[in-house]
Amino acid sequence: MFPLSEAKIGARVRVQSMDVDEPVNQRLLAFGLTPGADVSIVHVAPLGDPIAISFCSQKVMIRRCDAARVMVEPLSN
Amino acid sequence: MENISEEHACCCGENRNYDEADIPEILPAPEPSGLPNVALIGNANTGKTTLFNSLTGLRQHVGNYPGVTVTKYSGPLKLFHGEKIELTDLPGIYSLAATSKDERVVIDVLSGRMAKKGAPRPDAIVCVVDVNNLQRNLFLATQVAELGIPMVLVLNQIDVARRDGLKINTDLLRERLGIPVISVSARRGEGIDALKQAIADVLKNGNKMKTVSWNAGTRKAIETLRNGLSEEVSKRVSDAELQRVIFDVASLVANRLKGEDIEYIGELLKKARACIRDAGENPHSTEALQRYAFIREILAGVMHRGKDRTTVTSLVDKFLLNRVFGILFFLAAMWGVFWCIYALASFPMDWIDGWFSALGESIGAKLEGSPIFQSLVVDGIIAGVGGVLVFLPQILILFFFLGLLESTGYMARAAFLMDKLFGWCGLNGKSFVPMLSGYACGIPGIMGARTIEDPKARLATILAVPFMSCGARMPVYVLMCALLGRITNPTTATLVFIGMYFVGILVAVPVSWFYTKYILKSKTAPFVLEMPRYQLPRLRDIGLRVWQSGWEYTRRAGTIIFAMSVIIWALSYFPRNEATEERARTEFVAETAAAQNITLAESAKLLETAESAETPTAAQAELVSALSNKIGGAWMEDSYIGRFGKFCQPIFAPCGFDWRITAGVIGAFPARELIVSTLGITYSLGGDVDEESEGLYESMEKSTHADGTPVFTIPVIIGIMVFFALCGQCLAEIVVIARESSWKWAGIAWAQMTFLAWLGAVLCYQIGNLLA
Repeated sequence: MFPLSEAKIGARVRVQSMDVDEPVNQRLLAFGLTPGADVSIVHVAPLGDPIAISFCSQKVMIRRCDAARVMVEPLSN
Repeated sequence: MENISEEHACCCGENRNYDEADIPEILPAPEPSGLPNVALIGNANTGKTTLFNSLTGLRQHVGNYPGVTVTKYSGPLKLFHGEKIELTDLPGIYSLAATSKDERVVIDVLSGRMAKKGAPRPDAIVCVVDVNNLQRNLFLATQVAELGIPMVLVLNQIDVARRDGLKINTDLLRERLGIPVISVSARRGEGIDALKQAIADVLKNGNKMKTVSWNAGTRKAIETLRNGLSEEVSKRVSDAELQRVIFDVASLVANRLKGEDIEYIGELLKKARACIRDAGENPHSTEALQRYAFIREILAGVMHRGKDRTTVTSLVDKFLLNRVFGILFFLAAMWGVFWCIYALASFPMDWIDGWFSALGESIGAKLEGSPIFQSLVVDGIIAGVGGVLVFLPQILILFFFLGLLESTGYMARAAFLMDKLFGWCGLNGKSFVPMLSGYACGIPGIMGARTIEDPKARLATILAVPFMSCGARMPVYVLMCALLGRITNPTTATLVFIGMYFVGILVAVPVSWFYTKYILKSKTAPFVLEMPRYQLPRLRDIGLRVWQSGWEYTRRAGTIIFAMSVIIWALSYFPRNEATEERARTEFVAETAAAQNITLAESAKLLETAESAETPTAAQAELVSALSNKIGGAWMEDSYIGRFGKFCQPIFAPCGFDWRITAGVIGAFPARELIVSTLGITYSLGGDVDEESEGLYESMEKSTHADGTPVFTIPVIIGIMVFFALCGQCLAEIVVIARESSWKWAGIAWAQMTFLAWLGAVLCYQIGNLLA
């Protein structure tokens, strides 16, 4: 397990657990980023933060500090 | 009015203070006399507003939900057979989690808690979803279903789905959800008639959407909370609201449980959440997990996706979010927006200015007989209306671009690129456009902050925008830098001129950081933003929003700005004593006598002949106009504003300002650029001077303190510019801040800007004098 923020761009990973602060946590859950969801990083902003992640056929931007609290596991393709 | 303390409360969760005044009452039954009410609900970027616009068109009313700064859009809609309904476009939200104002407004309206205040509980809901992201969009639909209101599900953007080869079995979906499901393309006007029919049907039949069957742990949690409440409180609260209180640690609906002891509720909630934990689930994520499981069940076999293909959006994003091209495109786009607000808007602004001064002149000529009335009409009323309308071009242009940026989907990308740069001090990526337009004019900038969802980042932006060096500061900088150029050299003056444009932002950023850290006490503003599909803008939607923003400004801010300009006119006109005029005349006669080396009697005679001459010579005309300027200056000095300026003079002494500069500063309260004409009046040159008037420069250079030292030294000149770079001397701006936040924050903004401006001027003068 490693934090989502450490994932390589484009690599698909699966969410294992989330320990994100409110209200960001509620937002992510509402978007469908729940334990068990598959996700990948698709863009990184020019200054390195925030990042755009893709899951459930949508793109959502979050900050690195929040992504660091989402633990993921690699998915073998 | 906005209640920031409430925003704090959301961080404290169970221990929040229950705000007595803020608990809306439930009115379950809709007003019997009114039209049936139907609300549009849905995620942002679903095309919900496009649908609303095509259903109601220009018959929309724009207002505010009572007690919150959330805009309310509603309008009448005629169904078939002539039935009329009232349609409301609720704010676009992703969940009912009630952690933001928008979300709370929605749940309040849907539970009938705003009924008394003109937003009745809807008789039916039209839930608009983007068919291309059905799973995520249905999350909100399942939450809304818990409220037990009849519903229609609209699958919008069906044209995009068709293009991408996505097929939906609407019959199966209808069967599983138990409500009408209508495929629509709001952009193309497809499916609108079917939707109207479905609304009529659902109003008649009352179809309600199937809800999630909660697992044992969650059911027990709701039961525990319900049973723990006293009968009286329990009666007032719906199951849907109890769910929100259990699931959302930061819920703003927790105050619904008023009437119970706060500590007791805290304990009770812990007990309820423990039921969920006992069942092996996490109370934070169980709602989302169960809802998404339910949605997957509903959607099984409903969607048939065509081949996955690289979409246009991801191709464009590769370019627009690229480190190099992305930034270059962003800068180019922003430069274009700024140029339009700054340069393009100046044409209509000049027309408005010219038109109103011509109107003032022609009407003024007809009122020659009664000076008070003439001045009231020309300097008070006509100038006041002109002063309101002159901001319209910039507002309209900015809102056009905001509409363009938002509806194409680029705004979210701009926020993505800029977030890091702004996020640390409490602003956010979307603060960029309002702050940039603040360099043209603060008023559209402050209004443009509406695009920022996070209320604290929005407030921080509203407080930061007025520091940007707007166009009204330019005449002050030009005047002062030209003077500086005369006493030093043009290069220094140019550098100082450029430097002034950075003073504002250098102060705004730390101020914003200070507010965020110590006053609003927000951590970095939460940032979870959808990156929507790129879309072609729809000019009709943008045009409607532009028109509404302009109308709203004129109606709501404009009226106050106008009233206040008339008051300020009165303060600078009255009391107009005959004695003041007499004294000025006597002084003028003495001055002329001294200047021309003649006796007082000769001088008085000279003036009299000049005044009574049928066809005055150039010298006579000059003498008469010099006298009237002298009287104008004396009246200004004697007016309430002038007296106030003299009263305030000691405050500005540490900045090295004499009474004339102080009067200029005070007189520039309605608008910063007025200091130029106020200085003209106090130097007895008349109010028509501008920053190119040679006479004004000469008078300023010659101006001395009582001890004979010059007033306008380098530290004073720079001090004046720093003062105007930072001060809140703009009536319209203050009113707009009040309209967009509250009078409390407008007062705070004005006070802090004035203080910082004063401090800046003092530092310039004192440090400058030490160095010299």
